Amino acid sequence: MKKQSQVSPQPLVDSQPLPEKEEFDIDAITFEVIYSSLLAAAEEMSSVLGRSAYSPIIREMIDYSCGLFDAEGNLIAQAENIPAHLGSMGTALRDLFNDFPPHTFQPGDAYLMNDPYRGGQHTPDLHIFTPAFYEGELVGICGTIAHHADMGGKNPGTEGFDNKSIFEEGLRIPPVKLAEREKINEAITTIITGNVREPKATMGDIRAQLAACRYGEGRLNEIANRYSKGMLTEVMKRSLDYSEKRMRLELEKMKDAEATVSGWLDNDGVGHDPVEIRIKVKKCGKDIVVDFTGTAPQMAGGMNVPPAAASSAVLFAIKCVVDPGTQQNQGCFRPITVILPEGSLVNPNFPAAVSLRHLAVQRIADTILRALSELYPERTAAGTFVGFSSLAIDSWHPVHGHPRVIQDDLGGGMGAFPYGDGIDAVDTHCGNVAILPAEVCELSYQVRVVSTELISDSGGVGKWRGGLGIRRVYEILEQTHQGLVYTEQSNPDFAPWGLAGGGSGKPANIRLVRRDGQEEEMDKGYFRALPGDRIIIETSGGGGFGDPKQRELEFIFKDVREGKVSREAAEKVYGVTISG
Amino acid sequence: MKECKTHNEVYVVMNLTKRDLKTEVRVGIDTGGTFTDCVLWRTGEEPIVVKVPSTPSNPAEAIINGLERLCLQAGIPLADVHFLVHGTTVATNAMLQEQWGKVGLITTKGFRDTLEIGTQMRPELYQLHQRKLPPIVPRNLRMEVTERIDPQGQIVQELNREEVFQVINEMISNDIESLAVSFLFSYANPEHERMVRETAAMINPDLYVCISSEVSPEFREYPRTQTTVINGALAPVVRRYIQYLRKELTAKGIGDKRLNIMQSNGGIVSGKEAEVSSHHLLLSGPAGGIVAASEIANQAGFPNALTFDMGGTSSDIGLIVEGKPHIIQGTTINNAYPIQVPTMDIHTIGAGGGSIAWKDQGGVMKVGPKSAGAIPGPACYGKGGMEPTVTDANLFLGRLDPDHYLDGDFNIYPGSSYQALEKLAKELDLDVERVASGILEVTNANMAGALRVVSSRRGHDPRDFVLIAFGGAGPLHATALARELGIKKVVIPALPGVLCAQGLLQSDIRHDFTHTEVAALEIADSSRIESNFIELETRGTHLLYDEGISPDRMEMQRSIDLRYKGQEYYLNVPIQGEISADLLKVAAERFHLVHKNTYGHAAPEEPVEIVNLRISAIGKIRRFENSLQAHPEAAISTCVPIKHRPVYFNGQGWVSTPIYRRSDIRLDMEIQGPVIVTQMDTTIIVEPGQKVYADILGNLIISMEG
Repeated sequence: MKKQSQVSPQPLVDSQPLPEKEEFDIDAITFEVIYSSLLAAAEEMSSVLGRSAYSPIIREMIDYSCGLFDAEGNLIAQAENIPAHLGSMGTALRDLFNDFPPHTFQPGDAYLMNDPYRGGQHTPDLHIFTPAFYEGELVGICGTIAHHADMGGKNPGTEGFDNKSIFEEGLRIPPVKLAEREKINEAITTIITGNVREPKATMGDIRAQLAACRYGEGRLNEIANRYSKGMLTEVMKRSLDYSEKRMRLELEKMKDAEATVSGWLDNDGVGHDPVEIRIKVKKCGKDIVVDFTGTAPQMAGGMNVPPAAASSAVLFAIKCVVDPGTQQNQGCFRPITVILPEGSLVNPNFPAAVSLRHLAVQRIADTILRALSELYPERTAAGTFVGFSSLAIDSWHPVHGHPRVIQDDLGGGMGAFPYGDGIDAVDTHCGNVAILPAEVCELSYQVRVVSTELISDSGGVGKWRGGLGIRRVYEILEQTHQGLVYTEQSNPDFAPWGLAGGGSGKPANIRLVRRDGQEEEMDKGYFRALPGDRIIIETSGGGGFGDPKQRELEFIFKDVREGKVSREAAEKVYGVTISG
Repeated sequence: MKECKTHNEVYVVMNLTKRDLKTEVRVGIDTGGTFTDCVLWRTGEEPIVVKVPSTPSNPAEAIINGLERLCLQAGIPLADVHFLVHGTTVATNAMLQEQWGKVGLITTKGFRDTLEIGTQMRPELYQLHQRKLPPIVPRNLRMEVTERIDPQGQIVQELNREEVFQVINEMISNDIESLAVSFLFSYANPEHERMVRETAAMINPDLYVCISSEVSPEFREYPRTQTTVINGALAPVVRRYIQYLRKELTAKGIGDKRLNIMQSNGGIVSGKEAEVSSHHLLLSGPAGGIVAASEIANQAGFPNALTFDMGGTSSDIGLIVEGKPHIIQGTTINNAYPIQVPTMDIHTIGAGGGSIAWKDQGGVMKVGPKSAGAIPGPACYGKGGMEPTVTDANLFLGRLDPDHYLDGDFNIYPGSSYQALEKLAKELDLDVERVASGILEVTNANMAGALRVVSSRRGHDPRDFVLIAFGGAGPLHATALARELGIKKVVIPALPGVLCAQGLLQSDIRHDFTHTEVAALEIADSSRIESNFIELETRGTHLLYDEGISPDRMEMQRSIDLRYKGQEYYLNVPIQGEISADLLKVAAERFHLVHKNTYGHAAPEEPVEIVNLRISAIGKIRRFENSLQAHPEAAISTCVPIKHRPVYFNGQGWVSTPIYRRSDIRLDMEIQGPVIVTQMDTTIIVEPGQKVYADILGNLIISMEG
């Protein structure tokens, strides 16, 4: 039998209701006042980090999160900007504690880590933690995670679908003491700056993370000073019970059931065979178990998923379905048990490559939601685009000729739900980043965006229609360009699925169209392109919900009027002939 | 009586300056949700203030009503009003209610969906059942024409005029009310957009056409297109309103040229110009308050201030740094649409006096975001509200006077507040007092959090700021917030309820122009930049001239957006004088400094890039030196409380608290809290341990302990 790693503590037997008076006089109001100060403190940390960060990926694409933890390392309050960071810091913190037990912490210390095999996500995501003290006692921990532009490795930006091992993915940092009593360990920063492509930006971003942590320490100290350390600790403890209670109350409303489904990756990033993600979801009483037993072994390429990232995907999916409004802390994870078989792609053995873990993370979230949709269709939606279609090209500045890397990720359609159409053209599930503006592209690189459009008829049909995918066409203007493109969901069998009789979305695809009109399809690949050659990326539409014959005429007319559904499709699928 | 002497001195100085002026009558009118506030200023006279009920279906009615009442009190005919400044919510309401005009959009081939795709980010992270606000122009009214311009402004593909002709005709047959045009790189070469406008004028000269190279000539196609579309969508609404208002005013003898409108940037424009710059009016209402607050902050010697304007359903937080309202170059409206227009940095939170307290499923008491609004309103309004609100808590705790709410013009029912609070207290198993005081605690914690985020976002520590509180409920909560945030002083202006109207009379005329010019600063062509600046200034001069501003009162403020090469976003840096390589170097130095202050670090060795050139064309309006002073008679009146009332203070319980009338507060005395000061439009709480005094400008200054 395989060894398994079980993420998340054992569920409590019963939750403790609020209000409740124990040794501290904390009623339902004092709790809300102090807890909202902690939530605001996490938001303030986030604004400090965003303001002082150096690189666009952090400042503009907002790929970072901040959190406050109690002295035991439980997440108390989090300001997260993308769901991929959900709960991820808590996992890292547990690994940190193994190497540096909290009783060894001193005021002014700071800890740094990114190792996917020690609680990390992928190497570009750096965690920084600092302990917060009040009158000599540890009262909590401040944490930040931020996606750095580059951590070294063979590809610019560190990520690669065909990476064979973690050693191709740049600098791996196990938990280390970045600062001791306010003094930064220069040996560590020297090693970092010597290994990354943009050392200045990296150090600027590390300083921003540290500034946010220090800010959080100050706020925790002020709160302890204002209300007493005992009150602060008690509110932290109760906040966990509170979120747990909310989750369990919702879980209790849902019928007991289980479902096992398989989701598929198009391939492993190196070969051509689909890769299975097998998930059993079992909801019983106030608990829910997500079991990955049966999921394929770790893959040869770079899309393996470290446990911290797999857990984030699970939490994202469960939270969406159970209670999207629950305050984010360790308490909401208590009802959830995740089983990640060791050596599988969701808990790979060292040294499997993991830099493009977000492609598989999206599919994990999708697969859990699919299982839940079989049990609770009213709470879920049809399948959403999870292909993460992206492009990275080495280019040059059109005027001064300096080398530059173009990076772009395209969104797609969301799944339709029991009372509405899926949203067209958005970044989905665990991601939420911006598209590259066409003018920025042509101003900064020797590449032109020729068009950016919604793809008509790409959304799955149904009583409610799936959101539409995006078609973007890039044209090389000068010089020979080399780059890579990748997408998932190009296989029609794995396109966004319909629900309750709805149709599936149109699959994604990427084509290279040569100047002379010759076309090459590629779902993941490296290319060489000459001036006049075009790269066309089409992302998937979302799945439809319900019988298309039941779609309101008004919506069909509107879709046809707006060209989101063609007249032919209206006639063929919806049985509506529109003339004139 | 040193203060009184100072007061007289100021008065003398004022008289000297007044000699140069002919008698002028100026009126500021601010349309609010419930009341329309009107202020009339005359050379050498006390201001006259009138509040009339707003008339949402036709806001102009309340304006005429207010004007008539002001003039009646002043004993002058309406025609004597020389200068009328109006803060309007007509654009704001159209935006909030999404009652846009029917606008068509023409784009470069391949880009009609830019408006709909936007940034591709979704509104909610964890919601599978979510919707996105629909694009302001539906897809069938977004049409494409063949044309392409490159980043340097070179034409790659000529505009196909036949297509233009066709799509405009098709849009007109679809009954569009206005037309927006946004082509790629039009900021670098507006030729094609102008050609479309000419074609449209040939087809239908009455059709309003806005082009992105004029509305928002900055790079990045999505925000530029969105801003242009918002202009197009607001224009029909704003035009109808202003034209109607001008007609009404003309009929009353107030000519066309006397109407001015407040903009989001804190400057005013003529009514005529406002018709075409409708997207500048989205914060026309609150902007006046911040302008007035910044004047007060400067005069009172507190150049750094946070402003806090709390109303019934929402609260506005503003930032004044070094005596000036903080201006940002763009913002997001309706949480969905970016708009590139210079705007006061105002942060609105959905919490106010009407916010409802409730028990959530986890057993915790929450306040808001649901609000009782104006109808049914708080339980104490007796209009059917059954749930306890912030106002009910204030009333129950003795902080509001049940007999003199809004000067007794308005009946309230404390019994209903009690019932609503009691119901929640039972659910929470707490006593009513605890629930009422808890509602204030929770509300203040939320507001303090928002104030902290607003200041930390811009790199400031709230403890270095004073808090200027206004609006009906601002002064009720300000001292508790200051205590929470470690702010040392709270300033309550003389007329906190009509501050926005007052600010309308303290604003200069202002037009902003932008030109995108991306270039490395080190090798930039100074003469080309100079000529581009001059072109922008010429446009500003013409506009100001049309508005009747004489050249000696015109001021052109140049500034330049800079960034480190490789950065996406920029910072705005002022630049004065004829552009030369040396002057650009000075601007770069300044940029490093601003970058350090804003972001915490700078990189002086990195190359700097120019992004945009900006001009603010200012038409200076002659100030009435602050005539809103403490009433001179207050200095001689006997300052005694009108009564005592038990008021609940956290940690102290019920305390018999003296209630003063604002007009009785003398200049030379300092009163120890707890104190409540009442005036017609607000109630001011001074907590135990705090002190309050009136300064010679008529402000109440409350200082915290220690």
